[in-house]
Amino acid sequence: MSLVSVVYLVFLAAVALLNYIAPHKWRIYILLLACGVFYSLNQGMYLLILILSISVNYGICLLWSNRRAKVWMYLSLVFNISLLGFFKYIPAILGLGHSFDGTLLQRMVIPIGLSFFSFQAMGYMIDLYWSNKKEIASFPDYALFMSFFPQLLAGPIARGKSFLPQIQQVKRFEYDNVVAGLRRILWGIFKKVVIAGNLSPYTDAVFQNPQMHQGVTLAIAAFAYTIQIYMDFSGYSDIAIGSAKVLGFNLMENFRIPLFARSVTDFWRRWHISLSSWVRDYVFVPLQYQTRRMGMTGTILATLVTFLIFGVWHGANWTLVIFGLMQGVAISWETISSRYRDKVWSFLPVWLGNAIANILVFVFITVSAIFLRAASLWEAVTMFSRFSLDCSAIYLGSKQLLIFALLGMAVVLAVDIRKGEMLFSTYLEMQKPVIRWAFYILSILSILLIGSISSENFIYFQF
Amino acid sequence: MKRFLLKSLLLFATIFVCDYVIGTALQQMFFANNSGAPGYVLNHIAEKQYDAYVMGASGAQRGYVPAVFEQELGLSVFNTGEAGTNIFHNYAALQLILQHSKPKLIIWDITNADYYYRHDASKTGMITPYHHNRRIRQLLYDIQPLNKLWLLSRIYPYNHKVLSIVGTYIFKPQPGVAGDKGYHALNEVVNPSTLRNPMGQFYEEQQSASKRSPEMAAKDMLIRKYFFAFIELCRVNNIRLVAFHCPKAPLNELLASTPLLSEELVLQLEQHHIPLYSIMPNTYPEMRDLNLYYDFSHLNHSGATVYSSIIAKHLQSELQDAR
Repeated sequence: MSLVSVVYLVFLAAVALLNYIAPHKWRIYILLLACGVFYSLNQGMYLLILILSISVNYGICLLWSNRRAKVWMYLSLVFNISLLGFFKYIPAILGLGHSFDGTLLQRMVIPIGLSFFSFQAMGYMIDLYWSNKKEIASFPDYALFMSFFPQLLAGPIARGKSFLPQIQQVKRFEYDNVVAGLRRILWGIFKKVVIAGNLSPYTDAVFQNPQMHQGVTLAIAAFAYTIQIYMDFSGYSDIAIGSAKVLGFNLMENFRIPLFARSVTDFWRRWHISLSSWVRDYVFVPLQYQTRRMGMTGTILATLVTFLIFGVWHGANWTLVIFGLMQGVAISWETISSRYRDKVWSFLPVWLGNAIANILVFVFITVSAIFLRAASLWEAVTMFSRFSLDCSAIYLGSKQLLIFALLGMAVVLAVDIRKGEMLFSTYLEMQKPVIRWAFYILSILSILLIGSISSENFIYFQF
Repeated sequence: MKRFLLKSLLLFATIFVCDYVIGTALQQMFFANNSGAPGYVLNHIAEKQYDAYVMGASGAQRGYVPAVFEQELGLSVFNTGEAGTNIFHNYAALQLILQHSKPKLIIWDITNADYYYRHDASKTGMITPYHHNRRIRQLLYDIQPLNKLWLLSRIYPYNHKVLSIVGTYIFKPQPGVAGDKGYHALNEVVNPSTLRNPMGQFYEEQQSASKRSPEMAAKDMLIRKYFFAFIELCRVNNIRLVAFHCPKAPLNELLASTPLLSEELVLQLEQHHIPLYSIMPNTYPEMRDLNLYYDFSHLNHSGATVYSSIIAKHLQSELQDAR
């Protein structure tokens, strides 16, 4: 069930209705049932993997004792990493392509959301270990934390301490909450189908045949892909956060106007926040603590290892290792050179410094995103080797689609500039009713008129 | 809750009115263009009558020259080929033609995509404006059951077409945009060094027909339903249906001699008594020249002219046999 389908909206409405009319004690079971139905509709039998993950992780929680806390924590990490390895890395490392009539390993696909719910489980265990307490959530609460359907497929990666307390809160239908959630969903669908969906045929055409194109075409495609992945993933996150809001839950924000980042470090505080803060808290901070005696070298080592893990989290491919390392190297450079860079920036007017920094970060992210998109190192190398300023044969694919995507992008950028760091629904709430209504009507009409309604899959589902 | 429901109702009512007004305007402008330009081919054939029609996807649109057929066969011919389409488009086109006449001949450029489901098979942008036709509407529902909902909107049938519809309506198309009776000439010559892994493409295409996942096999049933419906429609209306398979650029002997049609598809054509001509360069030496090809799977204008002459000869004998 795609999050941009009418079926999903009907499903969400039905679950929300039941959630609000059912007695409080039944609600968790209704939500759990909804999560099971949602996952089964997406990947059928792979629901068993989710159930296995929940059961084993919860079993470890039950066996938890303060004396052997470290052992149980490591056992949980080994289990979750093995699960990830078995489905995500071993088939790729052994070079087994997916085949429906091949061996068992070849027939398997990566369970959707595996990387996300496994990281949630590990985060919960590490928090438990660090807090040194034996306060374990009840099984239904834990199961809902692991399988909550709006964020099950591609995050945001929830933290137990912020999500679990919300489960037991009595939920009543609150007009403001539901409307705020629906606005977020509408905004997310707009980003996905009007911008990402219309850019997708162009980026696919160029990235799948990089040797057929050259010069400026490859640069345009690379920039288009950065915009596409931003709109695709932030659109998905808006739908996920909005759906949770409709059900009375608050999820972590996943994006904070990343295109206005002033450095790569700043970018990763604004992009896929739930994952970048996860690796910061559970990988970087412990590593930095371990290497604290090494000073700056230790910090850089911790940064590189963190971003290596960050890259590999996306999948088992050398391109993703390079993608992660590029971020690590850039952030390390920024850490080393922060004093000198601040001096250089101080010579420029603030607005000019900001604009230059935004552009430099955007260009860097675009270059590194080529490794995120390319199916192989060969494809990425072909892209780079054919870059030039040759404008003689620019390929733009369907110009109509590009115009639609650019129009949509202009709207999103204008809103981002106006709202700054404010949440979209809060910003819209502050506007006059006529502007709010114009937003609802124009968004829905543009989805019908120029949206790629058939674009159902989100890029981050593959990770 | 009451406030929420009231405002939702008001929003839906406003959307309904806007959808009706904009959709009606788009409908008027879309159907005003019957030039036969790409995207408007079905408008043209819904109004104008021809003796014969070429049907197929991009291979048909760029490889079959109506002028050659008209000269050799003495029949009026229109090329309904549209890039990226399949049997669904052919079926819809035939339904629109049958509203006003019964053609003598259909020249079918056949590929595996007419018999096996592909990832882009459910794209129906070319057909949705004609959902008022009962059979085409059923086809749209079969392809995507949610179309029952989407087609309640008057805007949706023109999804992604707004710029071309308004642009064409305001700035009338230049002569020649519609091509030569639906045929669109490509003038460049293939450069083999820019082709990415042509043998890989060849093997992938060959294997895609033999290795079908259970999900794809289930979706094949829909394609086949309309494959057989198309053949049946021709039979009951006494339309001579002749299938042709266009060659790929003959970069080596294998490509020059192996048609990319599955055995099952060929067998089905045989069982339905539909003549099939695979114009392979190893048996038609005039098609061996790489200068006749635009890319791996399309002919350029020179190639299309040579190819159409070969086809016309086969059609002459087919039509004589029919008499």
